[in-house]
Amino acid sequence: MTRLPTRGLARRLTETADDMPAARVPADLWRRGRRRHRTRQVLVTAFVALAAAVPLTALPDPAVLPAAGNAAVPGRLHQPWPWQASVEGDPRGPAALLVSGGGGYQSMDLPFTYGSRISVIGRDGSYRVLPYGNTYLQAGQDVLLSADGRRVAGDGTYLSHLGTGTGDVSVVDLGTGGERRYPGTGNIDPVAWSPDGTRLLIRRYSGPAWWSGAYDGSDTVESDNGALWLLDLGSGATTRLLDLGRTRPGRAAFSPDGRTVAVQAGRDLTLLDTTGGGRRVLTTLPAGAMLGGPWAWSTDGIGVFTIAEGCTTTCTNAERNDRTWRLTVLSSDSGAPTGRTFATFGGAAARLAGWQRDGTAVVVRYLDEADQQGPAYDAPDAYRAVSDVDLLALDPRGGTKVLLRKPPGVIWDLDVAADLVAAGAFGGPSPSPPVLPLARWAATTAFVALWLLGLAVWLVVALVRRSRGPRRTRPVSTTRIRP
Amino acid sequence: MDAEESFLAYVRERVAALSRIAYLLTGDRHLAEDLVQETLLRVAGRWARIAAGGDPDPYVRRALYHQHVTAWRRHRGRTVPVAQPPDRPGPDDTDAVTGSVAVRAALARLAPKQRAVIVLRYFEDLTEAQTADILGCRVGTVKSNTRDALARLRTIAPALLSDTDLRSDTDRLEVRG
Repeated sequence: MTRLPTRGLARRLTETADDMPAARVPADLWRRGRRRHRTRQVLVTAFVALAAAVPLTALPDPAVLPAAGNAAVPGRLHQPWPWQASVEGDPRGPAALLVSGGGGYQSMDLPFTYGSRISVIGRDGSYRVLPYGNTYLQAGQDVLLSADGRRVAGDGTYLSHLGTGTGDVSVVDLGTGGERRYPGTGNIDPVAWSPDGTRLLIRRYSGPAWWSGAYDGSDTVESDNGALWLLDLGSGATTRLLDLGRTRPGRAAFSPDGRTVAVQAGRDLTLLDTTGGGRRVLTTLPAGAMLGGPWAWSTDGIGVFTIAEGCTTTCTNAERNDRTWRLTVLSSDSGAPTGRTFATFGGAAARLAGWQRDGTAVVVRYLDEADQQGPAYDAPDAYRAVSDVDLLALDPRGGTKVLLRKPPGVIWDLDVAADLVAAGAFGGPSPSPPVLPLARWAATTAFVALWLLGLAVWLVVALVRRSRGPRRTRPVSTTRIRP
Repeated sequence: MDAEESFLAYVRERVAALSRIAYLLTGDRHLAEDLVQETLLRVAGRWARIAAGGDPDPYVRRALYHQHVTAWRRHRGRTVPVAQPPDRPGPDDTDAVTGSVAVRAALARLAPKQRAVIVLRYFEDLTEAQTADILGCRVGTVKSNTRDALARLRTIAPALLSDTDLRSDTDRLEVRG
């Protein structure tokens, strides 16, 4: 022990301490102490809540609907949040719908580096986003949903920034968020999924495409080296089905067995044998007529839209909106109408989303921006022309029904999973998109902002405390609590 | 007795003792008052829980020592405006005063933790284990701090450690360096 040599130290410490009288303490010491304690509790709680909120933003939203066994297309569409998470960041499985448009469907994608956002409405009610670098991409035309809703085909600018895309074809798995690229050169557009989801019809061409003629449905689209190819998604092998030179292939559709492809080029409707390479022109369509689209071919024949009334060529957008359409089913053998009739409907253009098993046709109907003066120079279903779309059911027994309620004027195109169309699964639950999780950019921004805010608060508190300095420089009312 | 009455009773009973410890730790009456006030403000907020655990004194003393080290860290290197200059060692007519000034000057030359160890060990007469408990460190740390502090005091104020009466060798208590 070292006590003996320091006995003097202990004594001197005691003598020195005796010089100190009892400290004066504020008369309201108890109240001030309690108030300070409560204030600190509030601050700590707020800070903990702030810190806890940050990881919460990355949590996936719970499935808002039960398992997808009885999946259906929602009866109503809502606008997604500007910060909606991407498929890549939080994949939610098979989709019911792909949607493109304005408003919330187009809204900001900081730092404004993507050209297009395609919204994916999952069968669990989730809303997710597929960002592409290319501008003006449309669901159902440029970005296509497979029949089972599990994969999405689009161009090679998926997840690329504006203007940095390649000539690839991109196929995104909505279950995993993973992507497979199929390399290519020049311009490549996906045109149609095969019914079994193993192959993709793609359109290749070089240079810009331009319209010739009267700027309506069946007019020739010209470009260089236009060709239609078949892409095997398993092996990546491609097969050239049709070489059109300066004519760009238009709409195309697989037959239900996937062996034949119908393609519109100009007014010609041509059938292509995907196994033997044969081809034949089935029929020549009337002015303004359009092949129904990727899902136009049913077991009963090939659906074609023809103009029943109204402007057929060189039309203004208003004239386009005023015309009426008739869906005609052509025999895939003779090209002659099968005699099946549907109610006519008005609109600028139409596309077949598919066929229900009871023969009901499900149609995407386009309405164009009506305020444009003079003849329209865009296709009636083009991004810059469309102002709104509807999803209609055309009953073969007559009658038309709107299948989807939606905010007006913000949905400019959509694609519906063909299996849900076949099942007639419409009018399903329509939960609003959950606020969380955030897109990665939004989560990053929120994380940085919250911590900067916390840091700023801490700095302010520290500076205030520092500026106050030692307590004795502050005039406080003190009293001496006598021991 | 409710928490407020219990707290005020504790303050009445222990404020003098706490002030003496604070004076040795800070070397200044005003700073000692600040230290005691700040410590009591801190413990008032959670007094109910402290008192429920038994004798609150060990907790309050622990808070006092930690507050001393924390305050030193926060205010080190800063020039603090004060109402009157702090006491400085120097010639004085009174031996006792001279001794007190010398003791505080010597303690001021120690690091805060060394000062705390010296006060705990030789003023409060606590064991190394009790000291370690108060300061929230290991016994080995207490030992090393004690050894270093004593060595430093031997260097700067050797008379402080002598058993000779302070008043008889005031000149030797002068702090060197």
